[in-house]
Amino acid sequence: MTEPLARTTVDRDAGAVTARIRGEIDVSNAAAIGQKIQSAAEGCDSLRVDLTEVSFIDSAGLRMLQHLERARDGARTRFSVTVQPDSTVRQLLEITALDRVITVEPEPG
Amino acid sequence: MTPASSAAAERLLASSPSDQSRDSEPARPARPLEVLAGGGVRVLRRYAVAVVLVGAGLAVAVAVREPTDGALTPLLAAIAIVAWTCGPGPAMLATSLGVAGAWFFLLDPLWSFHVRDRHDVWRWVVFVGVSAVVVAVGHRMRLEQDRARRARVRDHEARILVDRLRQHARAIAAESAPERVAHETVRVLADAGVAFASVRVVRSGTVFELAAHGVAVPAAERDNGHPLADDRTALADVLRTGEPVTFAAQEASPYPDVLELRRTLGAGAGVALPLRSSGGGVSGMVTAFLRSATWPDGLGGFVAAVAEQCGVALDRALTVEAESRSHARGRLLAALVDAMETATTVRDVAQVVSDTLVPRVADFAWVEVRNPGQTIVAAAPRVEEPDRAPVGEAADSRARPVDWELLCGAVADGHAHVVDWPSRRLDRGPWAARSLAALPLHLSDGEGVILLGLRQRSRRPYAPEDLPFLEEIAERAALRLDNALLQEQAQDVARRLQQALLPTRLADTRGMRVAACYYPGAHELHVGGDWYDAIEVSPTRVVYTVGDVVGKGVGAAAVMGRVRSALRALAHRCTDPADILRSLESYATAIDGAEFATLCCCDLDIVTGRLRYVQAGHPPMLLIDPAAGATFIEDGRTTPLLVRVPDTCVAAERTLEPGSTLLFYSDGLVERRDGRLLEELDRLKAVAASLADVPLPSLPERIVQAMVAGAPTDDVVVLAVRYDGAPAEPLAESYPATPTILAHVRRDLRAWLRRHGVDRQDEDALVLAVSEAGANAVEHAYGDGDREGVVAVEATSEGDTIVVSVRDNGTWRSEVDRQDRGRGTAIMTALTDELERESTSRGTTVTMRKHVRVRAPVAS
Repeated sequence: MTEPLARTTVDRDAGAVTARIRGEIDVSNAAAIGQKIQSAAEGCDSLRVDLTEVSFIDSAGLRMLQHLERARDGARTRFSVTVQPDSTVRQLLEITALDRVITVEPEPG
Repeated sequence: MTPASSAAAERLLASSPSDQSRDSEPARPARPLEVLAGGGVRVLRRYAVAVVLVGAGLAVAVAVREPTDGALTPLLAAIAIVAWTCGPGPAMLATSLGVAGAWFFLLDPLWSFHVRDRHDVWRWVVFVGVSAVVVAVGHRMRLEQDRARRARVRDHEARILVDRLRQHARAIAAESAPERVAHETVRVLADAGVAFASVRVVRSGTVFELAAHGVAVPAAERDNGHPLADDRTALADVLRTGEPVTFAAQEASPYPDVLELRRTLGAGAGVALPLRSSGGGVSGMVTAFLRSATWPDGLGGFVAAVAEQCGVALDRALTVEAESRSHARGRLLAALVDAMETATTVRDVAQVVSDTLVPRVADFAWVEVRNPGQTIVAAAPRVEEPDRAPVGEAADSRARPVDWELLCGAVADGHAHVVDWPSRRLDRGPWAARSLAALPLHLSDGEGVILLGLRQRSRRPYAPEDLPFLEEIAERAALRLDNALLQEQAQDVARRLQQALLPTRLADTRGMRVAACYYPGAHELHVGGDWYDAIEVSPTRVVYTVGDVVGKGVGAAAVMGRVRSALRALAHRCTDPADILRSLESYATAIDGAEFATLCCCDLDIVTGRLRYVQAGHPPMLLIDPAAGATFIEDGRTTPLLVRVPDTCVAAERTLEPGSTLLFYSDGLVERRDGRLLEELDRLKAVAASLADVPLPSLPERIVQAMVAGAPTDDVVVLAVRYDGAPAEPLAESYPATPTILAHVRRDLRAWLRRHGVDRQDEDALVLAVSEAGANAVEHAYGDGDREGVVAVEATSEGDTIVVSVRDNGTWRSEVDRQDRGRGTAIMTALTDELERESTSRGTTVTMRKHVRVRAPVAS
């Protein structure tokens, strides 16, 4: 596949980092995305992962989110994800009870 | 009587406190007056005789009337006679009477008791002197009588002992078993008043107590069979030196066994007498202890004599025993060879060896055969223990006796060994043993060992003398095992040929799914001859055949291959199963060995569900209809191949309902040696009905598992065909098993779901579930670096239910250590209605069903 499955852009505004993912996250790219976000968010105060434009995420993607959450614990940063309400991603977070571990914010504005 | 033991007897007798020689003194002949003066009335008679004799003597003296010394002579003579013949009592009476008479009738002047002259003095001196002599003689008489009485008692006791000795000789002469001889000896000793008695023998350097009396624990329950070399007891010394030993009651003994005997039994004096074999060695010993400190008269000699007799009888009995053991061994070998003849597989032969050797030469046996790769080919345990369950069927390395490596090390030199083992290592578990023998099996290909163990205390431990015999057993067993191994190799060739000739994978066609399994007969030479096949003649027509040619082995497999090839060719040429069968019959005349082959042949039209079939002597197909249940298809029957004129064969016909399953099988599934065919067919029907919900790919194997307990003895073929109805364009895609392919899977599935008008939310759920299953397959099934894996995704719609299966052909690994995979499964479970995972040796299939909302009717 020439077209990458997902694109990740990371914006850093002072101490606040926002990672925006577009596309699909699965076992083939989850680890790479996670690493990219983690290295970009090094030393930040808050990390927000925007999943509103993610059309597909699987358990490997959830694992990646959980790893980011754990890493945040050590660095004392704020960590949250943004999802569309009623989306499959949101539903998945509920199914797996990850929404109790990770701060889930509705789509801003 | 051998010189040594008679000398021992003499010494023993000499040591006895009583004077033995008096026992053997001939009885004194009775004197005439003694005869007169004998018995109960004899006492009175003796006194009467005394009175008469003294009266007579007095009368003579008075008649002489000569107041001289001579006048007393008759009187004194009478008293003397009385004293001599009637004993002291009458003598005293006679003396008194004599003195009184003399005073009255002869010695008037004596009334005054004056000593008038020298004559008077002399008279008194003579009188007193004679009286003293009389009393002395009387006393001597008394002693003599007592002695005679004692001698009579002794004679009586000696006679009893001699009688017992005679009985003993008679009893042991009739016995041929050493144990019986010993038992008899001990009984006779006990009857004679011996408090503790035992008989031991030495067999191949090991001491056995054959019988004992007066011991708390019976011989059978004590540790029997000590190696003589290790025995440091007094009794063992007797056996080693061949010298008899006597034990005085108060003697401080250096031997703990003697002290123990005294302490526990209160034993007093004792003796241990060696038994000599005719060959000159010491064959055993008789031990006897009394409670008293001294030996009663004659008992010591009696014990010695009994021991003599016992020694002779035991010598003979032991010889007889050795002969009969050699006969028994001959018989055992013959029985072993016979029994092994009936076994064909290595496993059976090994088990026969175990079963034959236990309990005859061992309490348990373990026969193990390994191939050159050290894999166990057969392990046959057998444990003879009434109160313990035998070691079960699971004969593998885990069930091996303890310290197996060390035991095997014992036979590493290629020779049989008696394994001397520290008892603590072998005192637990089913393999606890007192004595072990390890015998190597010399096989041409691979290696093996027979382990024999004894645990019963009454049994003779293995000795080096037994090894030639045991090695002969191992030799015979190895010969037969070699043979069986060769046969199994031939069988293996046939099995591989058979499997090579069978289709490796049956392709599902649209509307039809098919699954098959083949189990080669595991136990005997029952390989070859069964086949199954699914031949896709056209996109809408499939021909299925299942059959069985007569015979087994490589030949049958080859015939099967030819018949199956012929069927493949004919299926494409003929339009009707009856035609196929007819053509096959004319072709089969050229195939040697094809006659009497049985087969089912069906032709299925996928679009209409029309099934046409012939069943040529084959067990009937089973139709499992979702509504009507399981029924056997009985029509369309004809005879096996090449049995009759083929023209009359007509195919039967019926229409399959969507969802129904057709089950073909070979007779191995329903024919048992012990079971009746009709019962087994009924059982198959019930089993098939109960397994209706099992996913098709695993159905054949599940049916075999339910029908055949353990490994099938005969070949078994099962072919299951499910008719899903006219297919609604299912999805069937295969992908290489790499993570990046999951996006393609999602894309293809999403497109297929959209074509079927599935609601978008259900679509998302199914796509995620399938992606998870695919990720599982990719990650788990091929995570070992095996990159040739394939992930196959199939989706079908059954009305408003979508069934998606994700199949891989790898081996799943444990997922307990992977939390996120657990999460993957949780996701799949949450997003679908039903989730089934079937793992077989060929791979894993995850099948998910989900009820979906459909926006438009399902497109066909």
